[in-house]
Amino acid sequence: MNRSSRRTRLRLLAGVSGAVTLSLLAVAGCSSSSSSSSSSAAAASSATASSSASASSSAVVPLVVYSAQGYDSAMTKAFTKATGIPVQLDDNSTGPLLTQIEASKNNPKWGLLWVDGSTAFAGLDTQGLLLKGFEPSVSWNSLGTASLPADKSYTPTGVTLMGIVAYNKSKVPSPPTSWQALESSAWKGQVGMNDPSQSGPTFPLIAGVMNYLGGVSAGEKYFNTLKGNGLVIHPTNGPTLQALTSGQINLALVQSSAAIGATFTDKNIGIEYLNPATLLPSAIGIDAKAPAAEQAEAEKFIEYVLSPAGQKVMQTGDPTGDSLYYPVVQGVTPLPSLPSLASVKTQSINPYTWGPQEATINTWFDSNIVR
Amino acid sequence: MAEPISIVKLTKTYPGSKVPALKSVSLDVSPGTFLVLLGPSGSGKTTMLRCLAGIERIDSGLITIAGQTVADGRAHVAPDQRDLSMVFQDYALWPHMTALDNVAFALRRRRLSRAECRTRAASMLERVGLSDFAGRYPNELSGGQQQRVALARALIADTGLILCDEPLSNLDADLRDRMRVEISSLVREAGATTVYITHDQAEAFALADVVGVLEEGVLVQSGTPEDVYNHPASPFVARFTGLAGELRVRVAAHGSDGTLEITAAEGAAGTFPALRPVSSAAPGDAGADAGDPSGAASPGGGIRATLRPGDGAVLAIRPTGVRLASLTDGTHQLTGRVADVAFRGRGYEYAIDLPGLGRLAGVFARHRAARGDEVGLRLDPDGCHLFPADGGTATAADPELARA
Amino acid sequence: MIDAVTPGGATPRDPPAHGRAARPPVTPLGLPPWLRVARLGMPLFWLILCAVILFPCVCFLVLAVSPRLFDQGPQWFTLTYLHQALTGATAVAVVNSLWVSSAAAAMGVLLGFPIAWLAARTTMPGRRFVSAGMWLALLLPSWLPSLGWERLVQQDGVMYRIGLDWPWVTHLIMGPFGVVLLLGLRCVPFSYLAISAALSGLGQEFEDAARTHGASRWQALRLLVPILAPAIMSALAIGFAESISDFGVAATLAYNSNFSLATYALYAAIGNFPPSFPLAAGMSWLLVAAVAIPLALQARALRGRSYQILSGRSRQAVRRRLSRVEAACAGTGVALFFVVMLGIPGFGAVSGSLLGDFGSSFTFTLVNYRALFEQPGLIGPLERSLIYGAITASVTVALGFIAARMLSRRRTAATGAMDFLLLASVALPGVVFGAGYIFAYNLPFMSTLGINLYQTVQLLVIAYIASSLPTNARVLVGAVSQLQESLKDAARTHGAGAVLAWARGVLPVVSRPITLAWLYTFCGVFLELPLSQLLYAPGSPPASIAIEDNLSNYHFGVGMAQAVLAVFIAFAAVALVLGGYRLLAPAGWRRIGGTVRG
Repeated sequence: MNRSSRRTRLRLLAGVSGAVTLSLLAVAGCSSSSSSSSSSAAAASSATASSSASASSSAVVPLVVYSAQGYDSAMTKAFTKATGIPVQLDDNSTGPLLTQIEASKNNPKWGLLWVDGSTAFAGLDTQGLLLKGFEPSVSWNSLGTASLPADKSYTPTGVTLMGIVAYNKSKVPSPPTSWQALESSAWKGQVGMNDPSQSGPTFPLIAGVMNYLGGVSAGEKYFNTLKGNGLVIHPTNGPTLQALTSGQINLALVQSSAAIGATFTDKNIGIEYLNPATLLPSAIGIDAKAPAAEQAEAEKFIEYVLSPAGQKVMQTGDPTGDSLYYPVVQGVTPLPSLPSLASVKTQSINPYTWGPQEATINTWFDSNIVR
Repeated sequence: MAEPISIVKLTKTYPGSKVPALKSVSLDVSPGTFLVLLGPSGSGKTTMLRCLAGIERIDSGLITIAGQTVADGRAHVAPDQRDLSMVFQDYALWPHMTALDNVAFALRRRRLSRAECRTRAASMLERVGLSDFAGRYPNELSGGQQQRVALARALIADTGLILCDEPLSNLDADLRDRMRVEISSLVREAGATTVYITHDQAEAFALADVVGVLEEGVLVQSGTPEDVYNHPASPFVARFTGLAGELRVRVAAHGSDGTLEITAAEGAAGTFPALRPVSSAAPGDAGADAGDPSGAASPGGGIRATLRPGDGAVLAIRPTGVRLASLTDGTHQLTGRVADVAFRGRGYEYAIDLPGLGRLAGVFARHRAARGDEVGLRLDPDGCHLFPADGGTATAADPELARA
Repeated sequence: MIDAVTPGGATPRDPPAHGRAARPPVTPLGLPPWLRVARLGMPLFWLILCAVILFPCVCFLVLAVSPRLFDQGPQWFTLTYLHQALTGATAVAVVNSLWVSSAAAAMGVLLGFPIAWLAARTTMPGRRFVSAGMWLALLLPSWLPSLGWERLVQQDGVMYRIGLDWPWVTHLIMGPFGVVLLLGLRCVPFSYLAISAALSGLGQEFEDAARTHGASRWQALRLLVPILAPAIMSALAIGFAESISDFGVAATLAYNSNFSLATYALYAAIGNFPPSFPLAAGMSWLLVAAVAIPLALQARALRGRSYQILSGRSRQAVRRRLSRVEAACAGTGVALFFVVMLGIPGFGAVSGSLLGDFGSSFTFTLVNYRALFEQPGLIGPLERSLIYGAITASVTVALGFIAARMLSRRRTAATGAMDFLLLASVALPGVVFGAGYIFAYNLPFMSTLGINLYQTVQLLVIAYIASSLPTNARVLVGAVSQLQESLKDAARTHGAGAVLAWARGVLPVVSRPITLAWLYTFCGVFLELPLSQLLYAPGSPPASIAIEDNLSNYHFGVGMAQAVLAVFIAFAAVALVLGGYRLLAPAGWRRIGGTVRG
């Protein structure tokens, strides 16, 4: 082949690639703008369709479940066994799940999301990504009613607490019981907590503290004091607890399920609740743009989870971890190793108020407290 | 069966280069001919071989092997379908195969059984004298042995065309001659058409039936070795085929019977024999005509040199065209001083400086003269060629080319 | 000699009369003519590169200026995110990454060059193990050494426990110096591979020429550096790109040292909820631009030269004999290097998984491993990862070979563009690449066309291939550039079709480097996380997802055990393949490549 024809070929190839790429981007633009206008229409129509969902679920499409819960694979298997509906489980940490949902929002491929933390769901709801108006036919207990959203865009399935202190029993004879106690110099350099940008449940902890103390600035002042008092930050529950047991810190502010689970393996760890502890619901939200058949299946899934059979699976699926939750429906008792909530004062934060502030508060925390 | 080759106006330019590697080269090779392409590096001989092999694509022109078009500007027949074989300069033996496997690989195209391939490969290795080395790997063989394996590989499939890419240039000098004889005899025994390229003119003349001289992508002369040697078409060909030196002269007068009388340029001392001018021959022309000073174009297509009294000219002197002559008995025509002496066994080779004229090298004599001696020289008209001065300076003989 | 030529007319000699039967027709070996690969080969290769690398990267990068394109913001065109990326904390992170990566790349060469030299050109004891050690180091995930170092130097860590109370060491390691140290150690294998490949082709004659003209040994050595410049520049470039995109160290050591790096900031931008893809894209632009610097320097240094180093016909270099003292020093130095390079991660793995649930006690226990095997669903992910790894490695090596060949020849505009494309995609962290894949292959119009690749195994494997290709190509360049062209030409002129010529004539010569590159890619896929997290097909998690599941929750010890198991399985696969190669490959294949004979 001579030189000129080779050059022509290269140019042609470059032109074609460039044209293809540009046209794809253009089409992406067009389809995204058109899809955003149609999403609200879809949400409205599927909301009304949900009541007659059971009748329309003739096509058996697989239900795609995005979940970060420790008992999710046990649950999906039990669900498929009970109802025959096939499930495809994307079992990931909350972060990647949310990334996937956000990145694919112009063409979502998920059915339902099951993670800890109502603020995430509030955020998704504000973007119009959740199916509204579905409520399963269960009797909620007080924890459940406290966690229900007004527009019924997500359904709580259980509650853990943030504001629990795991402590080293041999080194700490009397653990603190209030948030303000942590500010004292007695605990200098001994307190550790998670990084909210890596640990999903930690933002509710921060928001809860701010809520309790009266506002964002009061909360910032508080954490600044803690930092001055030698606060140690680790990415998530695991490394923070590891720091506790290896002696780097003596008090770890982690999620209740993590702390209780740790006491099983390390007898040296004790737990104490700070006053007040923030409720952290785990919840399920349904994709607003999923096909109606899949949405119907998702609703069935939620019903199953909150049924006695489902609750049993939840409590046995991850006995040292997520199973250590407080139920939100009547008639189900928490696992025996969980301390009674009668003595614990709890508060819940409004995810719609605090959710939108997550990014700014996390960034503030990252820049001022973590660094 | 030996295959004829026809090359018509072959042109090739490498991408990224402004100058064509081959410029409209045309050549016909009869079946069974041993063609040697001779030229310095950059002359295009390797390119031509690679185009023949099909490793390079041509830009324009036509290559036909055995009557079948293998390459023109659009079509291109792949190397494996041209029924040829090639001996490479760097041997190109596959290092992960034994000598036997290397040779047997070339036989796969004949669709024989594995056992048959290996048997034939073994016997071919025996023919090249390497039967004991069949199980060795290339890095266990010497250069000469590797080249013999490469040769065996090229011969075994009995192809109609064998290409050789300077196969001897990587070998030691003493081995080169022996291998040359081996290549020559084995290839001729096989009877294939052979295209062989080299920059060594001695090697070319020793091997060739037909020599083609390439200069900067142009085929400047082709013919039998004797033709090219005795009737070089241009100063370049003369230079490349071995000169003792080039002297700048001037045409003094027209002599009788078409000869020219010449004197040294710039009034240097010395006399010159009368010479016939050389005509620039078109490829294929044999011999030169008796000079017609009027310079009419000949029907053969060549243009006769036009030399008039007073014109400058270049006298190219072959080593066989100059002898040492006694200073005393009046037979000498030029005088010079010995710059260097080299003993050659059967005699001596001298480099002689001629004042005002230049240096002649490779002058042979049986007796010895010392460095710095003054000697006389006598020129033989048969060993001298006169060319029109092309504007270039008279050069002293290129020592490399003066090797006889 | 001319005297030998006899005058007289010479006519073309007649072919000797042989009784020869008609020759059977020549049939080409290999593919039939209509399937000529060469014609569609190159354009197809470029198309593949564009589809799997360029397209997803562009889809992500374009968000920085046009978030609306993928529903990530209201603007069709804006420069605010680029501006944001260039200011504030993100700018600090990017600047940190730039200087840390440069230092790490330089450290990689400074350590890799002498080790390569000692192993290839001297009689240093233990030199046969150096190559294996370097490959082992290459296969380690980067968070493993971080973990080991942390456990070594942290408060109440191993150092303290054994009585070495050196706070300055802790400060040193848990800070920028430690980050550079770890990233630099990670660059050493790349430098070693590139430079030892170049050294094995470097003949002895250059040193000899220098020495005979009066140069001392050191001066002669310095003379070689420019000749090795292509390899050194290549090592610097890939070291820089790999360091700047490394997430393992950024997320562990750097994070715990409060030293911000670009990859972590990127991860945080994406990990925030709602994620800010446009800001992350803005930062990615900076990373891509950063990669252009070493490439430009490299191009300038090479200045038109190709990566092609000297021909294999150069005389083989002779090993320099070391005196006893020299040998002891060299051997000890290199051994120390490997202790640091391999021993500390090993220690980290051991301590995390064998010392109780949180590695707090210092008594060995297998409880984590027992819990691991009691967990259901362990085998599935491991099996899956093995298969994904095998497929990815095979395809990547094929594409990487083609790319390496292009890179090792004369530099044209096309190869320069490919070089930049490959290196820029290395510089983008896995999470960016994964997000780009979602944007690219989840486009709505694709679904309407029926192409639903997102969340399928196919797309995950394609993403693995695309992210492994650049480093794979670089690793192969050294060996491929030493291939003689005439090997292929010889096969073609002797009757082999294109495919056969490659398969029988050329590829066996580079079979060892190809096998090693295959293994490197295989292990990388086996332990890969960010792409797996974003793209895996629901219901079919690979091993790394299962590990991360445990690690990110409170089953720390079990997660570590799982990680150790995965690394162990990867190494077992390596041993299996290499052992298989040793046993099964034809004798001729194993003779080539590798070290110069002493």
